[in-house]
Amino acid sequence: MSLTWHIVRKDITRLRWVILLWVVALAGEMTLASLQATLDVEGHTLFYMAAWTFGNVFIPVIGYGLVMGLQDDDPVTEGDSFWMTRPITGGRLLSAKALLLALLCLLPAVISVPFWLGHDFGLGALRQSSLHVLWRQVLISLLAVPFAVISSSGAKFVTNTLVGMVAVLGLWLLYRLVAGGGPTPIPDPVLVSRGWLILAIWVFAAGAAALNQYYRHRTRRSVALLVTAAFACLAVSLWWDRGVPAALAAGTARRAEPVLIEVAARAGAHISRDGHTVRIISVIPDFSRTIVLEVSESEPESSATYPASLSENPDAPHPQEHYLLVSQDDGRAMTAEVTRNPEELHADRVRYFRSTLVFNPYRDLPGNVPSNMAPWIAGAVLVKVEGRDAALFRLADPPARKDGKP
Amino acid sequence: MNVIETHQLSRRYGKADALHGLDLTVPTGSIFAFIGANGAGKTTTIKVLMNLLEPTGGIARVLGVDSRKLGPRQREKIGYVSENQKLPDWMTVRQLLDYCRPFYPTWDRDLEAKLLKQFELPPDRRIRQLSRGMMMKAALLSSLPYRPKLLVLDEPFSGLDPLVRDEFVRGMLEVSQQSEWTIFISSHDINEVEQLADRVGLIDAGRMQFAEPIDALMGRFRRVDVTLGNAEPRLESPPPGWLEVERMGNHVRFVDSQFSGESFESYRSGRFPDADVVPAPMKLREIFVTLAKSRRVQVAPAGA
Amino acid sequence: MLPFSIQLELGLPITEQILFAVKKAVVGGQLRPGDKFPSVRALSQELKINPNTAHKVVAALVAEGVLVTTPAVGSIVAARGDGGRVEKAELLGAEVERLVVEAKKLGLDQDAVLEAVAAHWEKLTEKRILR
Repeated sequence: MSLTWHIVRKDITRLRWVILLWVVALAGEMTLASLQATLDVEGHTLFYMAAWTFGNVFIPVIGYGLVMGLQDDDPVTEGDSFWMTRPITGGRLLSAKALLLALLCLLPAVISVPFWLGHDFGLGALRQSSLHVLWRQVLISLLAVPFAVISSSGAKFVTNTLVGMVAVLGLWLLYRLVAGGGPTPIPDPVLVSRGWLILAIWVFAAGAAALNQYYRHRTRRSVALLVTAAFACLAVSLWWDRGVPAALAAGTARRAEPVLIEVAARAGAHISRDGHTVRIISVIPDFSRTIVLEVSESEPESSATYPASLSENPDAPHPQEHYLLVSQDDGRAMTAEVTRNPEELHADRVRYFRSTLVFNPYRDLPGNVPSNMAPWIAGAVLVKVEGRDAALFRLADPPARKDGKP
Repeated sequence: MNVIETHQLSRRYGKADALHGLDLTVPTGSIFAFIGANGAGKTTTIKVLMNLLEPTGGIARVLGVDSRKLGPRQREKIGYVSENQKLPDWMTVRQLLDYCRPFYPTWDRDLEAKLLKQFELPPDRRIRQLSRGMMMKAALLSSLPYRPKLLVLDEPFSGLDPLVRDEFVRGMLEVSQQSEWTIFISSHDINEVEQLADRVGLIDAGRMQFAEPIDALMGRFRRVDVTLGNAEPRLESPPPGWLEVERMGNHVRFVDSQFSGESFESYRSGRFPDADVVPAPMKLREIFVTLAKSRRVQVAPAGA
Repeated sequence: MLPFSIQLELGLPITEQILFAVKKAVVGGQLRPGDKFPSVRALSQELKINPNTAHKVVAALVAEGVLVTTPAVGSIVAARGDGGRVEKAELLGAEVERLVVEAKKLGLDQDAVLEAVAAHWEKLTEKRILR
């Protein structure tokens, strides 16, 4: 075990500046998100664009490159790699690299913890957000690992990635060609299960390729495996039509009438209606994501307990004029709509939330979100419901003031 | 015991055979010079021995173990230096040594320090900043302190100036414990290996042409210079060991690859009456060039 | 550095060359009886030869009585009578053979060769080039 750790330390030493850059970028992302949450910076589109680029371009790219950085000191393709003539087994090397990769995947969550704690996240919210943040780097690693293990150098890795991108484009075109624009929309459960199946295929292929490379260095076989997996994914996209088994689908027991509650998207705001209080604990500063809402049956506490980031002037016009309508159907798929028209919010379009729910608008929204909405939609909804498990939450604004305190 | 043994070793690339039925034996305690033209299969053989490539036929055994199954326990006793292998060039010399050391239970820190000094390598210089000669020394330095039982060197001298070569060889010999270790060295630098080697093997087009003690090899090759007298020489149907038979005027010369006292006497009088026939020893390099030029098959020792 | 002169030539068996050089040094006075002879390791390092070969050389020298191994010090040059004229002359063997071959090629007879030898001998002794 200590020899494995010895290899890990070597790689950390080698990559220390890149890792530092990544840590700085991650902290920067969180800081930007914090700023965004506490300042009223609507109109500073550039700011939002920068933040968006950070979180969705810059950091993923570094994260992607980091995976190759891990690999290229010890190539596992055929050849005369330094480690191959030393008393290091493929298994040990794989363990060392996997260990370090796992640590690097945890890093974003670790960096974010101080920020989250600074915004009064409870353990549950911490857990949710950590998982959410982990997911990004895990997915990136999943994409990067197969290319890294078949590349003999950083330059080859870039070439292979480009080839991969072209290949994906090709597959997508093929998909469009074959699937066309079918008349019947694909039911969400099918989409979800397809997603999971494709993920499983890719995890398997990446793992098998890595094992093949580390133990046997047979690059051609690994490439064949990956190409097969890519086509398998295409096949699933075209022909898999089973939904998620009922057991896996989120239970959506309908236990009570849905409740319509409108809340201002600002920390400290709360609304009471019909015995339900919705209180915004904080606007979560990781830019991609979450606003914590807590719902309780009781009256809200005095405003003195709310975070100091509360805007001083609750009556100041809030620039947001849009409503985010989020709904979930029985198949556990979520849809969200954005509308400027409050009349569209009918009770019969309401569905149910699970008691704790996290979603990321970038991931979960359908494709037709107007681009100028993007910054605002960065506030997603983490909902914690006490005593009730059905409610629709709409993040809205000025209309709420008519009914109660903002 | 043989440190290296191959039986009918083959390695195919597409349609071509890089190695074809190669039989090679390296006894423990020898310094084996592995010579051959470019593309003859030297590097391929070494890569197979080190399990950087798998054979497509036959078997190779290194330290008693199938080359395909070489594991840490064997590698702890093998040193490998190749002009093809890239060291982790971001490390300093010291970092390289610190990295390698824990993998070898027999690593001797005193020997490491001694060799570091002997090679005059700056410990805190990064490997990518080293000259080629220093880089090869660094590679060797990372392969010696654990006193490997087998040292495999693939073109270690290429691109090195004579002084560095000298230092390189001294470093290698520093570690020797006489019969306990073996060196397998492939090199174009035949003059350099001639003094060191006690066995020589020639590979040509993927096959071993011969492998024998160097004294025996040098003993059976002679360049023969003949100054004819008045009688005509008898050059028809020359013995099978004769190579490059040439004649210009009264000067005849050839290489006898199966020289022995008796055979020499017999053809001296039998084929060259009334002539001065002077045999001279040949350097290994000359032997190699002669063999490379000549495509005649019978170059193995008579009776082999 | 070795206590005797030697210039290894390629093409000739190394063991013989070293044996020859050592014997010449002993006979010529460069190596005196009782002098410490280099260890196998030192020989191997200085001449850049296989330690096994160095080992064989030392063993041969001991077998021929040129060296003696002592437990404490290692190998030392043996004490022996001043090498006989015949033995010394034998060491010249290769050079003499070369001289004779060259002379024959030039068509010289034995007397001419001996004359030439005598002439050169005087010249070099007179000029004090050699002792």
